[in-house]
Amino acid sequence: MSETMTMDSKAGAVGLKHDQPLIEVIDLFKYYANNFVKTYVLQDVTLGIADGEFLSIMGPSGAGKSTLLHILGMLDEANQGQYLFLNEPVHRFNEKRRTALHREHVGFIFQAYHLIDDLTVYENLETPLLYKKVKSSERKGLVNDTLDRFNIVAKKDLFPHQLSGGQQQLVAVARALITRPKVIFADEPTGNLNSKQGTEIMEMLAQLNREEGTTIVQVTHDEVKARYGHRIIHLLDGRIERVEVVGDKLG
Amino acid sequence: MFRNIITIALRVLWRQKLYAGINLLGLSVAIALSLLVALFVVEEYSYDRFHTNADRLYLLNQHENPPDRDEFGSTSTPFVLGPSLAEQSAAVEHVVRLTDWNTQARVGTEAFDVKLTYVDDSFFDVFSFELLESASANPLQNLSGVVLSESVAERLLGTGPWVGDTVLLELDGEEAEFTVTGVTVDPPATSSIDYQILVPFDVIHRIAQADWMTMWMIVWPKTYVLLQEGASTAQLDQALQAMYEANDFAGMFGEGGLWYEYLPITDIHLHSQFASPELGTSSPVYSRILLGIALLILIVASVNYTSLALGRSVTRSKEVGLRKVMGAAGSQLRRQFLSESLLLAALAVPVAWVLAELALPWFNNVAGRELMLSLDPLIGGILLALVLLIGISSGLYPAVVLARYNPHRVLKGQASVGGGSRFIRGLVVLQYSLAALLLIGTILMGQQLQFLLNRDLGYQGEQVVNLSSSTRSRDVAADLLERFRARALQEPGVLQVSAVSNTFGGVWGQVGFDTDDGQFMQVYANSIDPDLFETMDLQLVAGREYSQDRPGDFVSGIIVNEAMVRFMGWDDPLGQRLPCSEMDAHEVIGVVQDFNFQSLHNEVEPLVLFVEHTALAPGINDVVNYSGVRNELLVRLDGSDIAGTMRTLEGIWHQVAPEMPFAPEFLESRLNAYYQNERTLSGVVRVASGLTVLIAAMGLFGLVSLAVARRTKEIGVRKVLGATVPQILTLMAREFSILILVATLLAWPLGWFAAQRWLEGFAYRIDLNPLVFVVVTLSLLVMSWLTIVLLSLRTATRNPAHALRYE
Ligand SMILES: Nc1ncnc2c1ncn2[C@@H]1O[C@H](COP(=O)(O)OP(=O)(O)OP(=O)(O)O)[C@@H](O)[C@H]1O
Ligand SMILES: [Mg+2]
Repeated sequence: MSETMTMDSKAGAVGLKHDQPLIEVIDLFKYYANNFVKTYVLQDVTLGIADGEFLSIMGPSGAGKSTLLHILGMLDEANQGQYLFLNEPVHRFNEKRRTALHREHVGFIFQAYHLIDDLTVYENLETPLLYKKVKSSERKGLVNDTLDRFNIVAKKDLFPHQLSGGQQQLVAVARALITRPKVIFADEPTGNLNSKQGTEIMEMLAQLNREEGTTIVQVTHDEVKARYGHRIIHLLDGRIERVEVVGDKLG
Repeated sequence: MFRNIITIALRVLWRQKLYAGINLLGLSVAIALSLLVALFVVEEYSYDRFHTNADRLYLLNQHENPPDRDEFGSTSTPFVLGPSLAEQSAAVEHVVRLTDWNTQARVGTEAFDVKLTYVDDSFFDVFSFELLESASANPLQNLSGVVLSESVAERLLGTGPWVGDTVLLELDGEEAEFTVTGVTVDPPATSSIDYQILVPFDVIHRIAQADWMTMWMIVWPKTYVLLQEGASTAQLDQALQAMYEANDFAGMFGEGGLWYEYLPITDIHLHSQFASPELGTSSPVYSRILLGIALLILIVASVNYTSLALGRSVTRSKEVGLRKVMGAAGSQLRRQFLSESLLLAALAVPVAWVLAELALPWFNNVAGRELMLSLDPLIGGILLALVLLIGISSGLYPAVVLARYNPHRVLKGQASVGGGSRFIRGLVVLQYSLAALLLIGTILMGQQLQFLLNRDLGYQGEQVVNLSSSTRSRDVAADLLERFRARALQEPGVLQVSAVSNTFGGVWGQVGFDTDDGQFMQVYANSIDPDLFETMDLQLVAGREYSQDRPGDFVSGIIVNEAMVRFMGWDDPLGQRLPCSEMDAHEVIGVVQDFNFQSLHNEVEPLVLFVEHTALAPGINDVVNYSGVRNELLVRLDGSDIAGTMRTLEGIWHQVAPEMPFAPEFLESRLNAYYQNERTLSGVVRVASGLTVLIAAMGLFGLVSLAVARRTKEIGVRKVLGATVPQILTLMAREFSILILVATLLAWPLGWFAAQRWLEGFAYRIDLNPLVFVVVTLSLLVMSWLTIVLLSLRTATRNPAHALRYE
C-alpha cells in the first residue's frame, strides 16, 4: 500500500485521502440521561473509514468502544452528530431505512458468538438471506458454498449448543459474511476463544479484507490482534485519544 | 420464509413444553367449548330454513285488545281465518291450518299415547316435509287416511311398508279406524312443526262443534300462510281490513281491538312472543348466554398466552436482537411471533375437536339438543376464524413488545426486563375477576336452587305418584278414579288416592268472568276430588273440607285460598260467593292455607277449588288451560317398598284401564322440572367457572414459575442476608395476592348486581350472603398461595450458594 496518511487537525480524524470514505462520522455525541444527569459515553467523535480498510478500536473497559461500534453498525443511534454511509445521511434516516441499509451492507460478529439457539448451523446461516429476500435456490447455493468454505458442512444440522466455542464463532463469522457485506463490525470477536482459535479467526478476517476488499472494524483488547488493522483508534472516556497507523501494514 | 417461521415456532414450543402445554390445554378447552356453542347457535338460527318456501311463509298471530280486558295474543286463530284469506286475497298462494291434539292410538291390543296434528290438505305443497311412502299424490285428501312420521310408523306398526295399514284413534271418547295413506321422513330437528300423525283437517269435526268453523270469536288452530311469489304482507293487510269491516270486528273487539301479526316462519323459533313447547320455541337469550360464556373462556385462555409470552419475552430478547443485527425489520419479527401464537391456536384445534366429541353428550343433555359434530364448511370456517381471532388477539401485543427490543441494548445484556409487566398484571386481574364472577354466580345459583327445592310448598309432594290418564271425558275419568281407588286402597303401600283436573308440577287453569260491577276477573281454578286435602296434606285454616256426608258441597261449595280472601277483601270469607250473579247458587265453605300450586317464580295467586264447576259455569266466559276433567290421579305411598307398590299399581292400572298406557311420575320430579331452565343455566355456569378457574390457575402456575426462575438469584442473595423461608414465600406471594385481591374485589359489585337481577325472577329467593363473596376471594387466594408455595419452596429452601454459583 502506498497511500499517504494525513493527520487531521481535528481530534485524530483520519481519512485515506484519495478514497471515497465508506463511513464518515462527524462530531458524534452519545449520552445516557439518568436522574437528570447526562453521562456522556461518546464525545465529539469524528472519524472516517475508507472502503477496504481494516480498522481496530482499542481502549479500556467502559471507554465506549461497543457503543461506537453499534452506532457505526446502525444498531444504535447517536444523540448528536452526523453519520454518512456512502455519503448517505444515516442520522436522518428512520428506522426502516436504517434497517434496510444495515441489511444490505453490514455484518456483525460478537464476542459471545450470539447464534440463535433454536436454529441449526444451516438455518443460522440462512436467516440473513431470508431477511434479504434472497430466492430459495440462490440461498441454498450461498449457504452450501459458505459451509464449504468454512469447512463446517458436517456440522450443518447441529444446534449451537452442540458446537465448541471456536466452532460457534466460526459460524458467526460465516453468517456475517454470507450476505457479502461491504463492512464487518466485530466486537472482541476472539475474546472468548483460546489463542489458537483466536488467531485462526483473525487470519480469516485479514484474508477477507485482503482478498475481497471487505472493510473490517474490530474492537479488541489485545495489542497483537489490534495490529491486524491498518489503523488503531484509541478511545478513552468516549473520546478518540489517538490514532495509530500500523506501520508494518504499509509495506 | 414461511417454512422457516413454522420450524422455529415448532421448536420454540417444543423447547418450552410447560408453557406450550399450559397454552395448548387452555386454548383447546376454550376452542372445544366454542365449538359446542357454535353448533348450538348455528342450529338455533337455522330453524325452519329447510322449507323451500321459507321466505314467503308466515304464521299468523292474533292480537286482541278488547275494551275491558287485558291485551291478549296467541298463535291460536279462528277456524274461518285461513279459508277466508285464501278466498279473498290474491296474495295468498296457500293456507294451512294446523292444530295438535293428544290422544291414544291403538293397533290390535296395544295402546299408545300419540299426538295428532290436524292439517289442511295443502300441507305438503306449503311445507318441505318429505314423503317416503304415499298412496296418492296428496295423501291428506282421504278423510279416513292419516300420514305418519317414520319413527311413529315404526313404533305403532313395526317395519314398513306401512301404506294400507290401519290404526284406531280415539276421538272424543270413541275410536275410529284410519288407514295409513302416507309416511314421511321424521320432521328435522330444526322444524318448529313437529308432528307424529297428520290427520286431514276436516276430521276435526269429531272434536269441534260445526258452528265454530265460521265463528270469529272461537280461536283454536294455528294459521300458516304461503304468499304468492312477489306478494307482500301489506296485501294481506288489505284483505284483513275488508274482513274487519264485513264482520264488524270493531263491534266485537272495539276499534282496532283485533289485529294480526305475520311472523315469518324462520322467526318462530327465536322471535315468537308466544313461547310454546308446541312450537319448540327458544330465545336468543340462550344463544347469547352461551356465546358470552364461550367468549369469556376464550378470553381467559388467550390471556394465558399473552401473559406467558410477555413473561418469557426476556428469554427471547437475545434472539430478537440477533435477528435485527441480521437485518430483520420489526414487521418481519412481529410476523414471526404472531405466527407462533397462530400455530399454537391451530395446534389446539385437533385437541379441541376430541374434547368437543367427548363433551358432546353432556352438552346435548344440558342444552336439550341432539347436536352432532361434523366438519362442514361452516364449522370449518368458524374454526379458522377462531384460530385467527385467538392467534392474533393473544399474540399481537407480545409480538409488538418483542419486536420493539433494541438490539444494541439486548446484546449488551441490558434487556429491558420491564417489557409489558404492567400489562401482565392487568391481564391477571382480568382473568381472576372473571373467575370470581363465575364462582359467585355458581354458588348463588346453587343456593337459590337448593332453596327452591327445599322450601315448604304448603303441601306434601314427597312419595306422591301422579298417574295421568289422557281421557277427555269427565265420566270416563270419574269412573276410572273410582275403580282404581277401590283396588289401590287395598294395597298396604298406598295411603290415599285422589284426582284433580290440573295436577301439581304443571300449569293450573284459570277461569274468567264478568263481575256484577262490570269488571273482568280472572282467578286460578281447579276441579278436585274430595280426598285431595288428605292426599296432599293441604291445611284448612277456616271452614270445612269436602266430605261424603255433605254431597251438596260437591255442587255448590267452593274452597278458596288465603290469597283469594285477601284479593276479595273478605273479612269473613265463609258463606261468601263469587261476585257474579250469573253464576248459580254457591258459597265458600272453607279456606285453604296458601300453597304453591305454581313454581316459586310466582307468588301464590288467588285460587278457587271445587268438585263440580256446574254452579260457576253459567258465569264463566273465559277459560285458560282448564278442562274440568279430573283425569290426573294422585297416589300417596307410605314409602315402604316403593318398587313393589309401583308394580302392583301398574297391574291394577292395566286391569281398570286396559286401553290406557301406565305413565307414573313422582311429583318431586315434576316439581324439579319447574326449574329446568335454572338448573341448565346453573350447570353451564358451574362448568364455565370450573374451566375458568382451571385455566386461570394454569396461567398463574406458568407466571409463578417464570417469576421463580427470574428471581432465583435474588432469593439466594436474600437468604445469604438472613431471610427465612416464610419470609421468602411471603415475598413471592405478595404480588400475586394483591392482584387476586383486587380482581375479586372488582368482581364483588358486578356479581352482586348480576345475582340480584337473576334473583328478581323469583318470587321466593335467598338473601344475598356477603360471606359468599368473601369465600370466593379467599378460595382464589388460597389456591394461588398453594401454587406459589409449591413452585417456590424448592428455590426458597435450597442452599443459597447453589443459586448464586450457577446463576
Ligand atoms: N443504558 C445505559 N445507561 C447508562 N450508561 C450506560 C448504558 N449503556 C452503557 N452505558 C455506559 O456507557 C459506557 C460505555 O459502554 P460500552 O459498552 O460502550 O463500553 P466498552 O468500551 O465496550 O467496554 P467493554 O470493554 O467493557 O466492553 C459505560 O461506562 C457504560 O456504563
Ligand atoms: Mg464492549
